[in-house]
Amino acid sequence: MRDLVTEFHSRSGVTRALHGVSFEVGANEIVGVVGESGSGKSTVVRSVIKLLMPPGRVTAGTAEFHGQDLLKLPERQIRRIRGREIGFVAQNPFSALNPVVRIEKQFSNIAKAHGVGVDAGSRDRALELLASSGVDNPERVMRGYAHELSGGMAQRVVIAMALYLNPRLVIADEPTTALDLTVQRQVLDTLTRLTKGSGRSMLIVTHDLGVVANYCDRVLVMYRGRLVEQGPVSQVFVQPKDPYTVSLLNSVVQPEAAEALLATELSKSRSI
Amino acid sequence: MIRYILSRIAIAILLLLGLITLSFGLVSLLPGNPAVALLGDYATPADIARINAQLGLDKPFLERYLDYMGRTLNGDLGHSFFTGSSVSGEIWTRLPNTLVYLIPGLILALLIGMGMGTLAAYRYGRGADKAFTAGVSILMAMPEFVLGLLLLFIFYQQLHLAPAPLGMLSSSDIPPPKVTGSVALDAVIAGQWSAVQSIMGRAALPIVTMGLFFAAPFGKTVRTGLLQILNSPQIEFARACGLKPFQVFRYALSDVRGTLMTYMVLLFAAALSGAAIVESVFSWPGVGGWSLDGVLKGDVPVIQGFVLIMGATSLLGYVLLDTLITLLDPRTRGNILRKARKPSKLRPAAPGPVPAPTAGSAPTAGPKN
Repeated sequence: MRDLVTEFHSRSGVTRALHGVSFEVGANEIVGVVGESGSGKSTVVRSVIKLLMPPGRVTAGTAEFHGQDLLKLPERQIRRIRGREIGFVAQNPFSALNPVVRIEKQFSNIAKAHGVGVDAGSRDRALELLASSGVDNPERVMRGYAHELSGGMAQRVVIAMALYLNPRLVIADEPTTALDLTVQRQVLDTLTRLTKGSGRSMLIVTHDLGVVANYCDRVLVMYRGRLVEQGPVSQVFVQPKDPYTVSLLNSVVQPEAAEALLATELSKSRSI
Repeated sequence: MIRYILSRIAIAILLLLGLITLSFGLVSLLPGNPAVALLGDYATPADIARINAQLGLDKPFLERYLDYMGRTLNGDLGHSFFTGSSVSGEIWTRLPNTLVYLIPGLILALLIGMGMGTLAAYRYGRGADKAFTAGVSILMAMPEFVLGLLLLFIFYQQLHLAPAPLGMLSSSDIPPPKVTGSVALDAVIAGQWSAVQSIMGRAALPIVTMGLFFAAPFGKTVRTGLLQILNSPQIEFARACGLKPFQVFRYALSDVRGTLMTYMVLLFAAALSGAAIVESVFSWPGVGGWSLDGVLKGDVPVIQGFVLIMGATSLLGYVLLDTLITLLDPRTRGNILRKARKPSKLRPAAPGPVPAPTAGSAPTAGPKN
């Protein structure tokens, strides 16, 4: 069993971004984090891998990952875990990839950072990952730069980089927000396929409830720095307990509900 | 790509012609009559007319302009009204003297600025950063002559470590035989190590003055640039991939490199114009003190020569910089290569990351002016 329990308070000046959030991600499980902007979704996942922006600090709690409290690890050790044990998929591929370094070099830099030998094998693995992420002509992409790619392709490259060293947990911070609607689905399919297929877990931050419904096993609902509800997707979505979850779900335009509403309106107008 | 470089050179030549025009026009607009300055306040009108004719100032404006343009393009910058020495000859012997302290000074500034700026950015909001910010504020508020005098006071007057600010060679040093025209280089060629040592000892304080003076704005730029990129999604992703701090720093540097290179050239241009002050303080026989003297006396060919040389040097720096930055960045480089391959495809010329400076702003551009 691979467990991750997080519980912490983060403080930016006097602002408390998170007020004691606890949850876990099991092996081979995809957990979605939802909530409105500023609810602390991104702060949660950044706290786990200690990537908070300077004033932000985790002041209490633990983040246990395979028996180690990540929050107590010195920077040196947490760095070894980032990328190797915990992969990170950024929100916008174009702002995440280095614009002036060849994709190939960016892959080999990751390998070098973790003391993995850079050879033909490691290059093949990158090519393979790109191919299975749905990148056409990976060989050409490897030799090129980020700006030569389309948004979807660039995000696939980011996914391939996040999975390069076969991490056990993938953290994805709104991985499709920066993409076209048509590409979003393909990228999510790829991401979940590559995660589930190899027994990885994933923590995915999104404000798209559809994404949660389609791809996640469990869901965490956040509101104003608090975890207001968590549980299996089927349970939370069908029988939400917290009033905020109810209002969040109601805010989504549901085709069936809309149709039903339209039908009643129509019947009303007919009866008049 | 060759096409691109040629286009840059063409622009540079056009700007150079503009610069010549400007140096001619600006000086013609200066108040004061050189003949009056030469002869003193009690000159008779006849004397003034005679001098004006001698200097060619009685000819019509357009004729003087064309004459000036023609001479300048031939490399003849005229003769000083007062000493009669050739302006290009003076620049040729004095510019190397200026570069002797200017280039090491700028390198020192880059090293200090880079180191301190990086440290401050990485220690953002902490003691080191606050000390840096305070230091930069003090240095930037201090004119360079104050800094030079302060250093002289400490190292010459109090500690007796530095030689007196009386030029490049002491009166006991024998000037080396003239080979290249640069005293420092000639001393090295002639193997006069005592003279070399003397020059280096005397150049130390000007170098430190320049180094500290320009380290402040450069360090500030480094800090601001790094702070911005260090908090960017790009660096966040690099760190999330577990890259080593050194690799992360290199990624960050690759992002700010364009800005820093631009700033280096800017500082070089500013340092050339700032040389006048430092050379006055240290009685340095360089191009700066000489031109300041020329400006005070109203020695038109000297001013024109100085403006031209400073402008042309800055112009050259900017052209090199523009080309280099465009070629270093794969995004802009790709554009040029594609344009070169498909010349039939009409595409608006992508502006370089650095706007080419106008001729007028080049010689005076700087953080202080």
